[in-house]
Amino acid sequence: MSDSNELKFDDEIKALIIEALDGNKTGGGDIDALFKTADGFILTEFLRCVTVRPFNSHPNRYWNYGMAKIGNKNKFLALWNLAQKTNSKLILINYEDSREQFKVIEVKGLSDSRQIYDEVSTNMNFEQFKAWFRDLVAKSEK
Amino acid sequence: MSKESKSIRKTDDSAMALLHDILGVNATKVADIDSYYRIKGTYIFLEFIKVSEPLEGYSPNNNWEMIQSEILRLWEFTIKAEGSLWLICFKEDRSAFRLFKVESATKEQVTFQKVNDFDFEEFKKWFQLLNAEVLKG
Repeated sequence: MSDSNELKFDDEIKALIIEALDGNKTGGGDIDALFKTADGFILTEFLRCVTVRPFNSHPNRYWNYGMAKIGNKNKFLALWNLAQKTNSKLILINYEDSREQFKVIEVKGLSDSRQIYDEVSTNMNFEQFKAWFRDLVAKSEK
Repeated sequence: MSKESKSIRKTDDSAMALLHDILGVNATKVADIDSYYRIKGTYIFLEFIKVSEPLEGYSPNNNWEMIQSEILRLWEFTIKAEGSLWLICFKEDRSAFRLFKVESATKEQVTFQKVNDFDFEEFKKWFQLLNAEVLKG
């Protein structure tokens, strides 16, 4: 949040956090978009797909992949725990730079040992995704 | 979150670029959470606010109309999470930081339990202590 260009500002925050931690690992997370609808909060996280395209990719594929071979699972577990605590929906969105394929994954069940074991997934093209996302924004309470 | 969390990497923030492609200038109206932590089961949310005016004497109420929509959303979420919300106001050149722990937020105003004035080194100490507490698990 700032009085300047928001697109650049998100990068500025990340840069500030990195600087303030002096290179230490972070124990924190962030949330890309937070919506509030009549049914409650929705946490959304965008997952950029580079090597495997969104329709074929899945967060479970990268569960144990990541920095220091520890994996992304902590990020998903943290999001899931926060969603559970706040009775929120958790939606993960696979996307790619070409904007051709989008997979919207509503997580229904997740655990450390079972990974994401229950979900409702929908494959979309960019037009479908835009319509879906804009509808979510419109439904979000002001 | 646990001690195994990854280091934050500098990115080109492609997620924000995607939001921009979908919503145009309205992308800035989508609320996000800049940073959150969990210490012994209690959530702490940090919202960063870059301030162009001098921080001495600054209050988020000064430009409440402009920022209230996002802060109110975050505050409502914080209550739901039974956590705490800190507004981290800072100067772009890192010369000063003013931290506000939110006590309540309404459409009219935001009130605070605590205000801390820090220079960058002091802020780093505060932030690293918070982070270390999380990593302790």
